[in-house]
Amino acid sequence: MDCTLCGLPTPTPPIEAGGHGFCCFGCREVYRCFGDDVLAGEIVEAASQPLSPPDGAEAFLRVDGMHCSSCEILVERTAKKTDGIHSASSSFATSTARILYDPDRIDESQLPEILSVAGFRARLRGAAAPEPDERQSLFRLLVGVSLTAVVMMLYLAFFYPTHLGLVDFEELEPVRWLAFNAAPKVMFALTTLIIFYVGAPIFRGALIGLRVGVLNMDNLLAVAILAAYGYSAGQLFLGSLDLYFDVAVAIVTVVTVGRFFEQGARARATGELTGLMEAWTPVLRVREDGAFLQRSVDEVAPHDRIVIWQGEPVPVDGIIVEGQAAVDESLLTGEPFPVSRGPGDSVLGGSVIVEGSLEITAGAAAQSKMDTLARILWSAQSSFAGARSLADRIAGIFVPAVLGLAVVVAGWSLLDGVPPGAALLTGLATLIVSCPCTFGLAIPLTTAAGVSAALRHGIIVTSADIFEKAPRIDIAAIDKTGTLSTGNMIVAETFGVPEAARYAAAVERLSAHPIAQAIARLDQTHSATDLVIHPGRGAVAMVGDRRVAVGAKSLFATLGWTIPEQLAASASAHMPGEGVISYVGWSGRVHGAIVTRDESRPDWKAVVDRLREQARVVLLTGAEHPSGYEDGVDEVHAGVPPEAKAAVIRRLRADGTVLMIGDGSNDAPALAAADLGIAFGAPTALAADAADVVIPGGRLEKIFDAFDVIATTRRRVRQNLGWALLYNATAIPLAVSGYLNPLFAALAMSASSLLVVWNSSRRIGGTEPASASISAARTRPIKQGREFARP
Amino acid sequence: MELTFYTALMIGLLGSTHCIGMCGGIVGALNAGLPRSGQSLLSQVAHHFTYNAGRILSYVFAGAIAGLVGALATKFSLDTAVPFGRLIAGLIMIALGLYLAGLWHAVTAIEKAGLHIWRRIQPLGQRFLPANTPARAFGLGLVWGWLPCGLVYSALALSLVSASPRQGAVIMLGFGLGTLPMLFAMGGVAGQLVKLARHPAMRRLVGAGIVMFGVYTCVTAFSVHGHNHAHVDHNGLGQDMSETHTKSN
Repeated sequence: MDCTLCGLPTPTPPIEAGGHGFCCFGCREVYRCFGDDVLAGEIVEAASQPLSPPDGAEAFLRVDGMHCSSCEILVERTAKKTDGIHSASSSFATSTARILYDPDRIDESQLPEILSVAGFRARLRGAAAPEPDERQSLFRLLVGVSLTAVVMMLYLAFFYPTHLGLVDFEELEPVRWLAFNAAPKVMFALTTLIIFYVGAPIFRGALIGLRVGVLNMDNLLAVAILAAYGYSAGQLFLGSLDLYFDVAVAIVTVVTVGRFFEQGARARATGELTGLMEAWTPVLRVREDGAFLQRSVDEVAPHDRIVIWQGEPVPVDGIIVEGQAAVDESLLTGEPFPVSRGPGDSVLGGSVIVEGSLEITAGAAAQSKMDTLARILWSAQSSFAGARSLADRIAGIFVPAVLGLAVVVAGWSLLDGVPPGAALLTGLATLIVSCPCTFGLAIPLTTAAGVSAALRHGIIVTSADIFEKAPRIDIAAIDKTGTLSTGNMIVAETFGVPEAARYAAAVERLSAHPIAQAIARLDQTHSATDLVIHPGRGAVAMVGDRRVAVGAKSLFATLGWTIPEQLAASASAHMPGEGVISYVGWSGRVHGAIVTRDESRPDWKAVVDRLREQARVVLLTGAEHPSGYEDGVDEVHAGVPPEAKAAVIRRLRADGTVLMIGDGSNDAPALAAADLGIAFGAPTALAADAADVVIPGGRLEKIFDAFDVIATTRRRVRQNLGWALLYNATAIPLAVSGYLNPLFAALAMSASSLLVVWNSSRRIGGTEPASASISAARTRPIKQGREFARP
Repeated sequence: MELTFYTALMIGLLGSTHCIGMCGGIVGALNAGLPRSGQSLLSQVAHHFTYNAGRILSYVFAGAIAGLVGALATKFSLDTAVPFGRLIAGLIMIALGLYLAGLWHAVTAIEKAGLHIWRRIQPLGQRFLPANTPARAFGLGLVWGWLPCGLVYSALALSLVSASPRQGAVIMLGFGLGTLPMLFAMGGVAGQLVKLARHPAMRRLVGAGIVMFGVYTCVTAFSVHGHNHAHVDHNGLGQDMSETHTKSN
């Protein structure tokens, strides 16, 4: 008979339980514990489906004072405990929180107060920033360094020489009181001050960790500091001079110094992003009865008059009433150079005034495109899901493991007969040297830097997990209309008598149809009256005393006018791809024909060629004809309606990773179905939901910038994680084997953290993009902006 | 590192062909504890890693205790205790080898003794179920390290006769590391391994290997006298520190 669980032969009689026979007690106990499920090879957990939260209002807050992922958890828990808040997510790397709440039960203005717990300072997006606490951290740092210097000098004078055997105890006899009585007490007093004043942030972090039940780096440090301090204090009161105050102060000070620099570097890495986000949520100056009033974006009503000064972003869409200015619209339209705008022109919310100042009236919707965009970005920023969970997972394993290891190592040394002081040191070194921070920082910081680097290139990253997706693209599916082409119709060719084009232009000027617009641009010499639209077929109007018809074949069939065979044949013969033929006729006869077609982007061929170097390029179009694009690509799927595009993408995914490039509205399902979706055109909420990357404007070659940024960011995440692994794999064994003393452990740990921070804050995408982006316009001296401005 | 360390490592490596069938169940339980959405390779590895870390930590702890008991026993007895202990350890290993080969089930008697400890520890394991976080997996590993198991006991016998807490812990660390490769094999590989492990010829081979280690341990039991003293130098690592940092009065 074989064991029910492991299949090995059983003894006779077999070991039995529940009617099954087992080979050993181990197998039987496994069965007893897990029951019959274990025999099936898997245990099915009754998964309770979380109810989807009811819809509510969304608010974004800036939360200062977060410094680790346990802080994120505390912020989220505090928010969720509050009645009326449905859900919350936060990111310490970008200091943001996103709250979904019920506006009937709670007011948005209450949120900052609710979240300002445990030393966090929360404020609503757009609210004025409080004074940064940089001065306090600097003061802390200076106190720490100077007092530590005093403690260390005392050690140098009275303790180290004797420990190292350079000086005999007898030689200290003349200064006995000073060396053995006063100095230790002074050291004790100073250490107490250093630990509890300078080290306060460490203990705060440790408490936050304990409050949310997550062990973090601060817990390790706090245990190490308190152990060294407590042991030494105890020894001092017992009259022994086996003191390790030097270790305690060194940990506190080294960590404080490290964190100070880390804070600065982190602020720089995320500052740019913060600046960009805050640029979109400005306080406005509204002119009312001759006076200026400060308003937030939400309070602006349509037709309010808003004054915008040089260097400021335009808060909402509107019409210029007064003033002339050079406006940078790069983030909205992709247009790299500022454009000149004057009275009567419309301006887009989110563009920046590079030079001049404007007074505008708010548009009817009083809502800016950029506001939508900002929301999209904030929600992407405040939910770096992948990064968070990894940091959590690592801290969850790592910190308890290190604590356990330190206890084992110290206990082991003790058992081995090492003096308690030295055993303590080995344990402390183990605690301190391990650096879960590097894991925690590796992804979120780099991702934030990647997102902000992309923004500098005018590329909006809407889901941060693209940095974790597969680096290689096997298939690139490209939409035709609106992507390879501009979506605007242009006249390709005209046939027949010259008057035909002039009359047609006159008629079509009255119509809003895209083809009509293209034809209308042909000529401006005539004007038409008495327009009659034949929907889907064309239009008829009076030009002078002639009744002119412009439209498709079917229009002339209705009218009963004849189309000369020769004209129809030559127009069809010259029809480039899917061009549309409009006939022009008067006096019962067709006199000319105009062929219009979708205008291709000038750079499409170069972009597709570059893409083909690394992937199979598939053209995906709803039109029946690939109209000239088929020669440039590897494969054509023509006549695919928008809803079927997603199915094609799913089929392509069987062959490899698929990149979909399309416009944000029609192609949304396909963008979402692809491994990587890049949307062109207006950054709408729909596009942002569906695509991973949104590129406003029409510059196709920016996808390569996007690839660059993604690849660099991914590489940097790997470097950081690799470093964190390497560091911990080297440092921990060294500490465990007792080669590392706590002082060097603290130095190594801080250096490791700093390295990761530095690597993350290095500029991604080294070359400065040509486009003058918002951040560039804001940071660059205005004088330079003037050079770009058109007169 | 010394020979008993590698002996323990080999016991773990060879013997874990047995575990793969049995512990596969626990591993399955671990996988089931994972959140549905996040069954990424990374989280699986994290769970297995922490589970095994917990398990090995328990072994190391048990090894240290066994070593301590051995040390005390040596202190209060004649020096002859060590060689005899080694002989017994070797015999246990031979019994284990025969058991793995499916020939003689005497080891189950020792396992039965281990049941008493297990009965007390096992209820703690319920706390860590479902093992849906790495921390819980770690706890589960800590508890399940005490599962009655002939393999563990034969390795512990080696720890006992090392007569040093440190050496005992090191031996159990070696054993634990030895069991890792098999338990970390996942997916299709695991299925293949289970098949292979159940194959009678494979079982005989593994059993024979462990019997050979047992015979070797028995034969050398009396010849490697004085061997124990060599470890004192090893312990010097910790003492380098103590010399520079011990503050004398």
